[in-house]
Amino acid sequence: MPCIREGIAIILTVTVLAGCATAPPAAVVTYAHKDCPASPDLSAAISLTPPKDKAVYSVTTRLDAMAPCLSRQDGASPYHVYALPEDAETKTVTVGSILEQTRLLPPQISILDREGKVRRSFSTADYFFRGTVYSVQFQPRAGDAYVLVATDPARVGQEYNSISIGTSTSSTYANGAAISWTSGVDQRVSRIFSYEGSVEVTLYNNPTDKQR
Amino acid sequence: MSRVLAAVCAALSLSACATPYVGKPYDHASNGVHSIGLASDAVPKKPIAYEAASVGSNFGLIGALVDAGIQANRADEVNKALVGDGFNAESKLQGRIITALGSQGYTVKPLDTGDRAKREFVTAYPSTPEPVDAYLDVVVIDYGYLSAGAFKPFRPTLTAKVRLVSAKDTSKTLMENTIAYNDIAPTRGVITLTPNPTYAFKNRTDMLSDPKRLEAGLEDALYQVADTVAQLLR
Repeated sequence: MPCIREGIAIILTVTVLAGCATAPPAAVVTYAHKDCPASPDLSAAISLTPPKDKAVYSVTTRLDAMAPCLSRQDGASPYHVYALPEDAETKTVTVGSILEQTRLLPPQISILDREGKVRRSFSTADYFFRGTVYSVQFQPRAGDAYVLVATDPARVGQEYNSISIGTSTSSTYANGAAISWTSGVDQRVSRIFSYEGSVEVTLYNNPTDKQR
Repeated sequence: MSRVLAAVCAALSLSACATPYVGKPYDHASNGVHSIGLASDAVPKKPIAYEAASVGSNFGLIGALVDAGIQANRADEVNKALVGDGFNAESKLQGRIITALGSQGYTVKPLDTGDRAKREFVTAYPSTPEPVDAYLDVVVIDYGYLSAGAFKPFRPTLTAKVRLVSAKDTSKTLMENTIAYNDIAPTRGVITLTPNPTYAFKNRTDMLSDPKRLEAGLEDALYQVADTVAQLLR
């Protein structure tokens, strides 16, 4: 009997939470900012140095209307600049945007030196979905100091279609016993490339060749 | 009850500590690789035809046993259909890798590294008549058709790991990644490719009724993975 009460309580909680759920953020396909500077503000760089040494360190940042803006050849867009740690050459860095329910930020990523000059940039073919992060991956070289992440204005408004498969398990209580049933999920998802979204930067300590 | 709770807590702690997968990106500028030896036996002999959340798997041990028989029988039938049509996954994958890397300026020579006992990287690479700068080792863990569950379509699937090692010092890895085409759930750090919607089969009968299309779906998956391998060496 206590199990049934707990089960009902859980179902009620889930139902109440579902009732409170808000709609996922929609794609933002216009960008109002004008007169943006042509170079990023390095003094506002977000630090990628962890408070204490970690094998894996992630920083997630919203890129939205509040973010600084940058004017480039293909138009203005929001950006963030991240400061690599001093020991960056011992790390592998993955940088990209997180797949959201209805939208995806098309990132345009460059590596800058201490003065903010572009040392190298990535082309569209260099981006892959690593799990749910649409990203590039690199090992910093001597002289690499910052990572610049801006929205690629040329891709905003385009569709990204994908198919995701998985399994889903539902549980019910009957006669004091829990019964669970696992079924398949196969869905086509259409997302829109958006000026706004979430950016994730993750730094991994490089494993030695023996550890690989 | 306390032992169960302890086990659950231990499992949660372990999963929290697990280090996510991270590949090793290739640095084109610093490695100077022009010629590549390509390891053989990249693709397993038989494709899979697997239904993840099948009806049988929901009915305990007896259901699981019945399900294992159904899954194995389906895979055998799909395999027969492909063999009957002369499909060679190994040559499709290797041919595409050689062409794609060739268009990027690499010279790629196939190597006979023998059959793999397990789906693991080669441990010792053979010497080649003409020396190469690096060895490329592509290991397809499994490939074939995958359905998420009962009444869900079968779509091509493929999971491969790929590694480029220096020929001068084979303990030096120049690039390493894992690529999953139509995986059951995206894994953090693993390159995830979405399946081509053209190749979806309602069920086993639908798959077996059109071997040409069945083959085309696998060829498309093999080509996409081969192209991804080449892109990782840009």
